[in-house]
Amino acid sequence: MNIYKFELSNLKKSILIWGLSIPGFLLFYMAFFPAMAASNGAFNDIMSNMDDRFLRAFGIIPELPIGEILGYFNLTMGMVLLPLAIQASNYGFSILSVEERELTADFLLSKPISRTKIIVSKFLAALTSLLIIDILLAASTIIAINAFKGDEVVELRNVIILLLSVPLFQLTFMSIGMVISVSIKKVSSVLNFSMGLGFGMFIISSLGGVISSGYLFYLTPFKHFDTAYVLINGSWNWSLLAISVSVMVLSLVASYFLYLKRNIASL
Amino acid sequence: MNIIAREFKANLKSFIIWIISLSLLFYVASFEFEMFQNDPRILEAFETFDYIFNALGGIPDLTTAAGYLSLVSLYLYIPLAIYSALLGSRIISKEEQNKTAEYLFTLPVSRNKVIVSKFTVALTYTIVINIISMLVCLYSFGRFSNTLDTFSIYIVNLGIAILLTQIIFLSIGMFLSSVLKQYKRSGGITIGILIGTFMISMLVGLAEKADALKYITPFQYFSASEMLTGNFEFIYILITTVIIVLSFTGLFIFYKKRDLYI
Repeated sequence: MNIYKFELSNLKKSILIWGLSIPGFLLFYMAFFPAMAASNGAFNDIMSNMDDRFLRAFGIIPELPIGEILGYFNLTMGMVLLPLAIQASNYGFSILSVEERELTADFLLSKPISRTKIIVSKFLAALTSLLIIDILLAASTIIAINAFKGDEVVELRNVIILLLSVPLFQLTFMSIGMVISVSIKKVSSVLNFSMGLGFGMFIISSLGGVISSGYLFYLTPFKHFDTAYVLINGSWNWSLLAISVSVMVLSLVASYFLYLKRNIASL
Repeated sequence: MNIIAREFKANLKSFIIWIISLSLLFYVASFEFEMFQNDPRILEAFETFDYIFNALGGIPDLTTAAGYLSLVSLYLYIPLAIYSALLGSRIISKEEQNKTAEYLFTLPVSRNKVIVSKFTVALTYTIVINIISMLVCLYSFGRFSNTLDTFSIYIVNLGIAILLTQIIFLSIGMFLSSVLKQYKRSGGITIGILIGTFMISMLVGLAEKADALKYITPFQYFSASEMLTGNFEFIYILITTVIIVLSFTGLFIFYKKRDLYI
């Protein structure tokens, strides 16, 4: 319990910054919707006559026109997933490697507690922080949609299903970060790794929109948790989701065993 | 000279990792361009909806190498900017993080000389990674292109545009790591600025009302579609120069007085 509390208080500032900036950004993005919707009516009409595949190449989804609030929310969410992924991978790469980098591993590991307890407490602390952010995000989403929808009638059911997938999405990135951080010798710069993982996956998924062949979709959690799919169908894309979830479970199990046996560098 | 050699070596590994992954990414993307180029349906759609693209102001002709590259060029801007931002903040702060600051600054060299050496290395890597990735693009997209002359002019323009964006973030990263009291903060804040301006840049593309925001996001200063005509606007060159000069001056002033964390 002590480690959990200590880790959580270490993360306090980080929770505050992410917790303010991610929901803040969502609100800021959504605030431009009313102006957009007003000016885009004619544009939507033209778009509805165009070839499906052609539109998709530009990332336009016919079922979710950006002139409607859910379509605009889909675009916003596509952007917001990026900082969510970076935050999660940041935590993943740092929680198990920070002691070695800051030379506090000797102190921590000489305490009369098992490594199991250390890894579980650290994991739970990071998970708690992620959940706090997700709750804030969910709240600001509901607020934003209600505030900016105008006189549109919006079915919130699909939005809530989408928001429920966010913790799982973050957990995927965090567990990948954890397993990489315990399998390599030294994580010299957490940011280098987390940007590589977060932005790398984001870029693959965005290019995947342009690249229609589709194989790239299997690689990146951004596609496994495709926001448009959830908003249209009201359910998760189970077959793709299964890839993310199995990667996550495998990574968590592997990090646990690797950490137990890890040769931890001391002073 | 010793410090320069040492820094080149210390940053070589991450340089190689970045350049290989970027090159692969764009090599793969170029195959998609080949499909696009030869798809009659796409060509037909383009002819029919020509006026819409003109109205939208800037969706380029995807059937030319330059047009396609400008559509996906965001994924050149972003990774290269991230590389430079991280390089800039890390090359300064790593001495304190790795507890080598004490060693380095007891050597008989002035702080100024240390900073100049680190600055030289960071700038060189920034320029080299830019040139190599542009050459990769020239090769991977150029092999399908039958208008190689105009395409290579575009590549040069795009390369300069991306380089300027990179140097903005390099200078911000170096400046922040010399001015912030805690060495740990600089990387995070620099990246925060980068992600923030990137997301604002996407918003500018989306909503007309957000147009005024384009002055605060470097990703809009020299956008890929402007580069199709080689249009470097004076105001943006001015803003870029101001940011870069201020940051680098700040770096040299503040680092000399820095209270190192040992």
